[in-house]
Amino acid sequence: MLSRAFAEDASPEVLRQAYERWGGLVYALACRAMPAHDAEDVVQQTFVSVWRSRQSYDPASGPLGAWIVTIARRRIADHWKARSASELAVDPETLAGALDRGEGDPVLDAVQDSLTVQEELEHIGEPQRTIVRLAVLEDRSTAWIADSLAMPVGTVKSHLSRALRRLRDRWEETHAASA
Amino acid sequence: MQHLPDETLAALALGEAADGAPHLDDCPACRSEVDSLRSTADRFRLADLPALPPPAGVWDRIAAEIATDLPADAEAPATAGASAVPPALPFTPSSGAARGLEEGAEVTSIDVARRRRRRFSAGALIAACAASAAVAASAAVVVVTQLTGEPRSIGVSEATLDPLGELGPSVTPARAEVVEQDGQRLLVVDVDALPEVDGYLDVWLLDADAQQMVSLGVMDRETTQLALPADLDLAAYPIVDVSVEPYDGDPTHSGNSVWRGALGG
Ligand SMILES: [Zn+2]
Repeated sequence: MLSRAFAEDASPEVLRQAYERWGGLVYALACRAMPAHDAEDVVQQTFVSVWRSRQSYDPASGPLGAWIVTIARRRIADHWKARSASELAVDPETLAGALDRGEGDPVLDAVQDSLTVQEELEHIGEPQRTIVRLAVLEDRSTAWIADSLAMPVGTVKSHLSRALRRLRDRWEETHAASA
Repeated sequence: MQHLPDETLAALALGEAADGAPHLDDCPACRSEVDSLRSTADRFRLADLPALPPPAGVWDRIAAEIATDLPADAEAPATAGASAVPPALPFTPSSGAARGLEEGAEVTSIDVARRRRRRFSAGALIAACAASAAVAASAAVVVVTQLTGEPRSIGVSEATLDPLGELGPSVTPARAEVVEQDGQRLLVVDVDALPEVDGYLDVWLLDADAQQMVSLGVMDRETTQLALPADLDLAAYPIVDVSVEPYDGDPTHSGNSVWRGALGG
């Protein structure tokens, strides 16, 4: 619903709602990648980018949360690029190279899994998201989940199976892409 | 041999007792599928992280930053943070100073004026926001006063821009010059020919460490004139840079520069 509101009429108020919904996620992701003080800047840069890129958001290509996590991924990468530039590029000639070399930072790599999981969780939507969280993170049985969501056990199992495979495929893709 | 259904394999991977367990003893294919799903689940557990509320004040800074994009007559952000949003810049359609500037100076457009503040780093932007009311007010007065005088163009500073990057070998050196016209500083960038690019050319000023940068605007002709922010200290941003920016909605520097050079007296 927020995705549609954002696509149709992205007012500052809709941005604030998106911030309330996903700001904590972006901050947690950034805190995994850098000190909290820098992470605050990344949150700010992410939502300012979200605002300024609002016309390029297409709800048909995915939910707003996934798009925001993708932008957070780039702002986190920018942070590491900027760090390389300050260490290497007093001579401005080397700036472009330093920006390019920002990719593949080991600390950044450690964050990639978290980003991928959050992006994918935003993509798969409900009820798969709740089901996979309950089953994997909270270690609930399929019977328990079926009962609490008032859903047939077979349906829960098939959602779970698809969500797990989807996560696995996504990880394989990102590996193929970075290799 | 009939393999186990996907659902059963996933249930086994998550440690649920399922009817198919004995099949695993005999079937390497299903066993490896279960192992792979199990490691996906493990990785998921490791990668998960609970949301962490950002400190108070982060939203206020976002609201302040996006407020610089909004025209003054647009709907003000109706949020708690909005009270901290500073007044809009003076160069807006509703402002008398802006109309005077447009009529008096040939090259300043409202778009450039609104755009030009956009890309300071976060720290510089916060400082700019806090100070913008006072700075903007005095800038407007200066502009209006000087518009009544004769238009004049005075060379302040110039640079030779050397080609670099991928496109470097295909272009000749360019020139940049800061001139003053009607109390407004302009950067004039002159090239022999515009290269074919995938995207558009963007003109920037960088500090000496290339840590802070400000976008001045699009270069779409061989001689491009761009307004400099009134409160921009050229000594702090001495490097002129022209980059190729893809149409990706990302406002930051692409890292793909075509020309660069340092301004000197
Ligand atoms: Zn089998």
